[in-house]
Amino acid sequence: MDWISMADVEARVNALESLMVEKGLAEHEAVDAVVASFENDMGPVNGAKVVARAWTDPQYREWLLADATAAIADMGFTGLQTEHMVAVENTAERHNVVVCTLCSCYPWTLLGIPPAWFKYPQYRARVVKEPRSVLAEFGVTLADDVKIDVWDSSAEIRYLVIPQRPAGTEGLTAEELVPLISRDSMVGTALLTSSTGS
Amino acid sequence: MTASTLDFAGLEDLGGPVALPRSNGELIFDAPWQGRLFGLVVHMCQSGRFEWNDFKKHLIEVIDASGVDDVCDPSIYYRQFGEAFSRLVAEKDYVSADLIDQRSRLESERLSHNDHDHDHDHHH
Repeated sequence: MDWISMADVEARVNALESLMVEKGLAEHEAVDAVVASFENDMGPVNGAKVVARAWTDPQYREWLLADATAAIADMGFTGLQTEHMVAVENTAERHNVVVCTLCSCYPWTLLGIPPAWFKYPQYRARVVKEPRSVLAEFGVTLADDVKIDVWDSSAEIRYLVIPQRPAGTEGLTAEELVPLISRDSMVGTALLTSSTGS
Repeated sequence: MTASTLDFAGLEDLGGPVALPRSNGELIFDAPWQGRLFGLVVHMCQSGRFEWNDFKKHLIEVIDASGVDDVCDPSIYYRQFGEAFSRLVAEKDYVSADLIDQRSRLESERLSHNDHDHDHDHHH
């Protein structure tokens, strides 16, 4: 049977997996683990580790801002999708938000599977023209004097937003900070508090 | 957890016309079955059921034979990926093509029953 012309590929994949498990050649849990590693382990937690290190290690922060590709590679997140990274830092005066106006370029290894809204034409078109109101719709209300930079991803460059470290987290270690850092905050569509994270 | 110890370095080897679908460098799946299939192939390769190069050889053949090398479209690419995997497991005598067909029909019926567990004529 030819897969190209076959409509029911889902049934085909289920059949293959169940047959392999019945023959003792595979385990459902191991397939789960591979899938989960793409959804989670290679996902936002990696980006969060980079951010947490930048927050707690000033030298690393400078390196990340100067050469994100190398600084991120130093964390072991190399290869697949992080070849040309740029890190941009949120401050009290400046907020960064990332978009890909052409398609849906996204630092997959660092942030996981792109959220659906990242691919929506509305987001891609509007965040460039009216970032302040789009961010407000995400619940990010910025003071009028906060400058917003919108970064358009491309084949050459992908961006990681370093969110502002929440107040009240001064005593936390990098490991303790990681769970506070949400995916959306690293795209620029969320702010962090000492109890946020996702 | 075990997932963190997975090594995907071998996947880099899938370059050229059989490269994994990416959107400007990022791996993409646009349906759960694609991730599931990918996971099954990676898991079995990593547990030593076959060599990555054996799989790659079939994938190249399938893509060449189909004449469709649009790796930008995951729904096409992962069909080729699935066909390559089916050929590989048949070659290895793990399971016959007939048995895969037979089980696929059963799974297809099961999936449609899940959608329509009683008689009615509206469309979901």
